[in-house]
Amino acid sequence: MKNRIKNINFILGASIICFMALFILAGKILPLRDPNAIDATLKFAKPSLAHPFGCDNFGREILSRVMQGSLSTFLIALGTVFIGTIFGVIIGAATGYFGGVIDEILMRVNDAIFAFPSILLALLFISLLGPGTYQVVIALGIAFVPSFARIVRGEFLKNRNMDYVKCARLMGASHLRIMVIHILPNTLRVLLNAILIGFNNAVLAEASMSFLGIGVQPPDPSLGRMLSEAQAYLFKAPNYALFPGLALILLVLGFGLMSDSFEK
Amino acid sequence: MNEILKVKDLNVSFKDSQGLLFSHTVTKHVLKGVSFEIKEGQILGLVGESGSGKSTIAKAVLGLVPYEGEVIMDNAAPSMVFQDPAGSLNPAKRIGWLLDEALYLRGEKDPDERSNKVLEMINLVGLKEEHLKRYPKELSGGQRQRVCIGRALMSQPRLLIADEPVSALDVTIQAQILELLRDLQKKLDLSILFISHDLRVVYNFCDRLIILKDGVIVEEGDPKVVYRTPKDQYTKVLLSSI
Repeated sequence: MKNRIKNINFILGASIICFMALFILAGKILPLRDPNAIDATLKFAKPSLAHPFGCDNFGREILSRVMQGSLSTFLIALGTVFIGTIFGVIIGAATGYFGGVIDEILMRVNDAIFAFPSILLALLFISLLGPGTYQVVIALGIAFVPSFARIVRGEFLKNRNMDYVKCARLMGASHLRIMVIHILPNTLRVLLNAILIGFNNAVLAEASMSFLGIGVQPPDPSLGRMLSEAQAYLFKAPNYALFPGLALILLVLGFGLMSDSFEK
Repeated sequence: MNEILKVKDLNVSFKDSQGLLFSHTVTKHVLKGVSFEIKEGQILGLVGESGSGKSTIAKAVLGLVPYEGEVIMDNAAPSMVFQDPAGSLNPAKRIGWLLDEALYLRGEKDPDERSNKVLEMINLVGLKEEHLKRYPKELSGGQRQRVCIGRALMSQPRLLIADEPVSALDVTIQAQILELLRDLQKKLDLSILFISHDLRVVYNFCDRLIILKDGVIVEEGDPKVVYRTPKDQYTKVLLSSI
């Protein structure tokens, strides 16, 4: 019964993400208005058949902006998680497997990075690198490395003393072979869960950074930026805030439900 | 008969630091002057309670712990079978892959030849070809131990070290695995160092018996003779506990 609930969680989460993926894809395929095209006559147009989500304070099409914004949020989250996973796995595997001095040094650095909220850390990197989409990916990626490293390290620590690793050593397998071919596949379940949660956090982190104006730069749309712009017109045009918010919620909810189903 | 393994005056000690604030290192002697030999085609039983140093002997022979003394071996490296068959098989890999790896790591590059050998081995240990596609968790404990034995034999060793290979198994399965080991020993002319804490298991299975207590050999000889006329007090205690 419990298993079934978790399966439902996964199916639900996966369908939401599929829906969002189709939504993003539709933005690329359908002949909609350019997300950055300004039209003064359409200023604050109410949602209608011609403009399903309405238009914003510059008369830009909210539908195509939400689509475009979801895409950039999604891509930034993907890049962030990718950087975090790659470096997190390398650091976590090395420290967990070998232990000793390297472990102590790297994990203390890790702790120091971990002690800062990831947004604050990303802000620090942005102030060094300057604002922009790629900078956000790098900054968030670095901020996400410690959490992955920690999880992977724990798994390697647990596995390295197991008999199957000793057997492989006895048969003459190299350390690299044991780490990559023997232990890594056994961490996949936990790692996958961490990746899904990481995705969640990355989506939120990107949105908050764009909300603060240091993420995706205007005029390009981003969910966080749209939300922050919509703040001023919350009563005049609630649809302006509603639709980007909804897209953000769906993205986070989808990944959240999927990661839930992986928990033991 | 030639000796496969000759151990002379083997000493193993570990340094252990005790105390939290004012720690001092204590040297713990695990093995104190152990000498024995295994002849070709012989099954040597090594019996002792936990902490007597049985497994340390195996580790020393395999070169996993530093030791003093002499370990003289036939040039082929010994293989090892562990107590827990579930833990010694990688849960993420299929049986076929696990057996194949033993050959791959020995430097055999031809995949067809390897898969032929894997097939041969899976039949030799009493399993079927279909088991090759399964994961360890899909096999029973006895089947898993058969896989472990098969993998250990992949490198065609002259000496097999079995550290409590049947202790984690049911009694009926124990008998089957012991029978398999006997069979293989005859077919492949193996020598086996059989480590156990159970005198009952050793009695029928081994050609020769060593009883270890606190890192010292207290009794050595033919199991039947040892059973009938134990010389050492500790052996008597062990035998009376059966």
